[in-house]
Amino acid sequence: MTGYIVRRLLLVPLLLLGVTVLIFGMLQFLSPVERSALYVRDVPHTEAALDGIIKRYGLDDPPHIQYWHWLVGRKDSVSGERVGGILRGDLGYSRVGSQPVADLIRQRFPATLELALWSVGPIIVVGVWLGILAAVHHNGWFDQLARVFSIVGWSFPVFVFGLMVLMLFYAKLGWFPPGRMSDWAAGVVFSEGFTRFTGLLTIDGLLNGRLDVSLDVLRHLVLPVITLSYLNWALLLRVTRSSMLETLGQEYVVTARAKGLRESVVVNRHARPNALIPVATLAGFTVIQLLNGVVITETVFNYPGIGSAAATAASQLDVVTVLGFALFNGAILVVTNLGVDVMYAVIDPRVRLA
Amino acid sequence: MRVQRTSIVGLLAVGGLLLSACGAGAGTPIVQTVVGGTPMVVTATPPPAATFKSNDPATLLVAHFGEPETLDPALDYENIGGETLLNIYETLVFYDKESAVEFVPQLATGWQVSQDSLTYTFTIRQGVVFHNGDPMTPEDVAYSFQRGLLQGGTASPQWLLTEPLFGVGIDDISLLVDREGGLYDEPEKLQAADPAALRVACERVKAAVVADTAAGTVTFHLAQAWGPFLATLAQTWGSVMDKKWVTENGGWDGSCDTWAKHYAITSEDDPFTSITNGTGPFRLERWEKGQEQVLVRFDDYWRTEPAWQGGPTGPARLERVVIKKVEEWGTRFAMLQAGDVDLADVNRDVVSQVDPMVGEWCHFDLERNEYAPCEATGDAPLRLSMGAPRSDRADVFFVFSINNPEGGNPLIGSGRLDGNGIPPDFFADLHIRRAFNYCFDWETFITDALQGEAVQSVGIPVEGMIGYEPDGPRYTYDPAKCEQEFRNSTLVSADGKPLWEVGFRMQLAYNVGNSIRQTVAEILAEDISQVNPKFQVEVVGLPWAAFLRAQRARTLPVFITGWIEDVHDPHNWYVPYLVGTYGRRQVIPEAAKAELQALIDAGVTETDPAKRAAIYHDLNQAVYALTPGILLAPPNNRQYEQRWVHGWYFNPLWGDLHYYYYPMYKD
Repeated sequence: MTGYIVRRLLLVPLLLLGVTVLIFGMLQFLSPVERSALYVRDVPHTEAALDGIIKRYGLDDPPHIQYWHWLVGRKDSVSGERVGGILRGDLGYSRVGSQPVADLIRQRFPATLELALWSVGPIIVVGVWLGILAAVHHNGWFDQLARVFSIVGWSFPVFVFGLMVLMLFYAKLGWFPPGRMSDWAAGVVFSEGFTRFTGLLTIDGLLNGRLDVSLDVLRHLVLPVITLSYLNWALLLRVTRSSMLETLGQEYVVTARAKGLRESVVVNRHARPNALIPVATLAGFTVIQLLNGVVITETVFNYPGIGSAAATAASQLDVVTVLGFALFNGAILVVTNLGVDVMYAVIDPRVRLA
Repeated sequence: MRVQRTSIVGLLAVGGLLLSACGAGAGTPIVQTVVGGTPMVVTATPPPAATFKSNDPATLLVAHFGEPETLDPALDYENIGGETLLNIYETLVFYDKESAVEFVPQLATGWQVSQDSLTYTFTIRQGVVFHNGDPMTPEDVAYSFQRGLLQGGTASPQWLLTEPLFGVGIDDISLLVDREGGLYDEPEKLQAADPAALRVACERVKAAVVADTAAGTVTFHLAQAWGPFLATLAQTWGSVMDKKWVTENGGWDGSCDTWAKHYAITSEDDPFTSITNGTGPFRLERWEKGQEQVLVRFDDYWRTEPAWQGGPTGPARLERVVIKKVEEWGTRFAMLQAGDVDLADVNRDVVSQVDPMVGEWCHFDLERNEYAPCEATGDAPLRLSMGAPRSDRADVFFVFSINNPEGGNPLIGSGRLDGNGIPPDFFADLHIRRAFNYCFDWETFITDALQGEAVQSVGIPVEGMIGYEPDGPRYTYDPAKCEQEFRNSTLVSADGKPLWEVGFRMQLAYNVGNSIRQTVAEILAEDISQVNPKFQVEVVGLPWAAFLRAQRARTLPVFITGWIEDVHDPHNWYVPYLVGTYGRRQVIPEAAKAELQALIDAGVTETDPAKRAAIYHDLNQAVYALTPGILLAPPNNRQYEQRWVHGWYFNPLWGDLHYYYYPMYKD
């Protein structure tokens, strides 16, 4: 097991390097004006200004030289200071966000992380449970209902579902508002007496002794979590059901029944662990998707995460910002994938012995 | 026995009352026989009038689709930032409530204009403090204008001040250093210019705006008489900043040795993009970029006398204003329905969704030039104020010389008159420009895109200002004349075939999300292709950044864009349309431009209204003869608000895009 994990860990830097090469390659398709945002804040307005920036920051150097400088930064030929360098945490300047891309991610990611953490539990637990139940009651009324639920959920556009729940639970009933928190809570959170230890306001509220803030933030999470959960349940339910049905048809399960074991023991101890292996993959991708920022959900609910920020940047053609997000998301993907691989090894001994 | 009878009669009376309440409408008289036999008329109690009360009357909640670019009043030149600045900073004079052309004292207590209209002397109000407690002095006033002028840059509104102070055509401070215009928006080149020239430019600025601390005045020395000068000072670029605070926070220190370092600063590098320190009724508590701005009441606000009759005094009634950025219309709509915002941006294409929520209608009386008393029509939660003519408009601009870098501009197809494209000088042909005008259906545009709430423009200026001639020359939708003009075109293909026979293809771009401009493009495309099926106009939507880039690069053959006036004066319309912002991008031929420039210069420097009107009459004739674009129709305003909000009023310069919070309050 240790060897397996070490091997996976050794792959991480190589995968990250691959991501950087891919992103850098995409950067080369941009015009020098767009690429200048890696080093300067303002759009060069004249040809002379653009030529100056190209020379100053080596935007016409050979690609491998540019790549190196993009990784580690370069010396500004005028000021003598080191500028740029993604390994130094400099992802360029976001003209849409009016701040460095790294700062924008730092500002927005905690909201996305919080939404992801509160969503992943309901999505996986409920989705898997529904799928197992549907498989165990194969062709029964629950199974039929679950399949209809799955088709409807899969067919519903996120945008439409989100607006529907917003209209019902917020506009009509006034229960769950959009945004991240109420105005009074924002006044508390942004005051000097409130310390944002984690950036996750449901936790920070408790750590600051403000349960009311935590509950308010939780109230604002309900609708986005419901929207994300419903749409992901549809897929998770189907995959779990299929996997469970296949497992329940295996010979060893038949043998377990023949031995006289109770059905609950057959399902929970023998069938379920094996059925969850493909589900683990899907669950991992669901987590990655959530951490990347769910654009439409964040936009509909005016939730200030990285998804909505990336969407705004894309619509304004702020390509450096978009690619900065892509790089960040790529890193999350690599790391999360590692977690999924380790989880595989834990669930399935055949994997770690291979 | 008598008691029993009385009880029975009484019970019958009560029962009758109850039964009648089920059937009777409000106010229906009911005759009942009660104890003693005396008939009495009982009127059913009418239901109480609906009251509208906010959960938080101390806080005004606004939902805009965007957010400011910067909060530096010397640099900001867009309407969302302008709204915040309007409430945080103040100017020497301010609008007399709804008027865009009459002014009341604000940070000045009064002013005098010399006989020759070249000198304006303002007496500066005493006892005013900035939000950080610093007292405001005449030196702060003079410094604020000097700083703005020297900071300059073509992205800023400073051209509105450099022209009156240094001469018509001087639209940036860099022209005082290099008259040829070689230093426009080139801070590094300007810093490398001759130090003596830099010093001279700075000293000219300081001589143009002079503070006299002893007398308590600030004097402006103009290069020529300037009709709209007071109107120019009333806008946010005339805001007064605290010199000490600005200097401490990295701004210009007032020295002529250092001004060049701050020239053409951008919002990204400007230290005052996100921090403020004004004298206004509100101060900025915080700005969470991408989310919201929060303004809080300034309790030491100086105003003890109302600016206009019935106007507010003292600290604002509202304690807080929260301006949220909510890009998605569905979310803004839900917030309006839930009562979680008091004011929200409502696009024209969704008014049919919002109108059912209106329970109180306020119509503008054009004859009296004011709003009539509002009519309540039910219990719906919103109030709609509509019908006032706005001072902004979207129009169509032809590009006389389209950029076609290496023949690869997809918007003009092949780049030749071969049926599959248009040549770069397509719109240099007057017949083509006239044809496009005759092919535009204004009635359909006004009905479909503006809900019938607009009137076709006549000439560039808007209604109510000098230069507007309701009976002036204008185009009308006339497919027959459109066809005639296309046939009269002198353009021919390489093999000598006329335009009508060869046909053409081009793309007409609008910025995605703007339904009005999309409708304009679609109407034009449809009407032109109906005249001749060989004329193909394709409508394409571009993201705003790409649209703006293409416009500036002159690759768009036609651009549809809007103008919100800076000052209510025809000069602020003619300049950008003909020789400034848009005129430059159209590449209007030099000869025509020279003729227009001469008339524009004559008009703005003339102080006699009748003579000015005569000059603008000639200018209107020249514009009609040139036909550089298609003038559309300024929409009337539509202002939606929750019925517990009060105090909003309409000023044409703000329309329904800007809110001045000081007089506003909530139930």
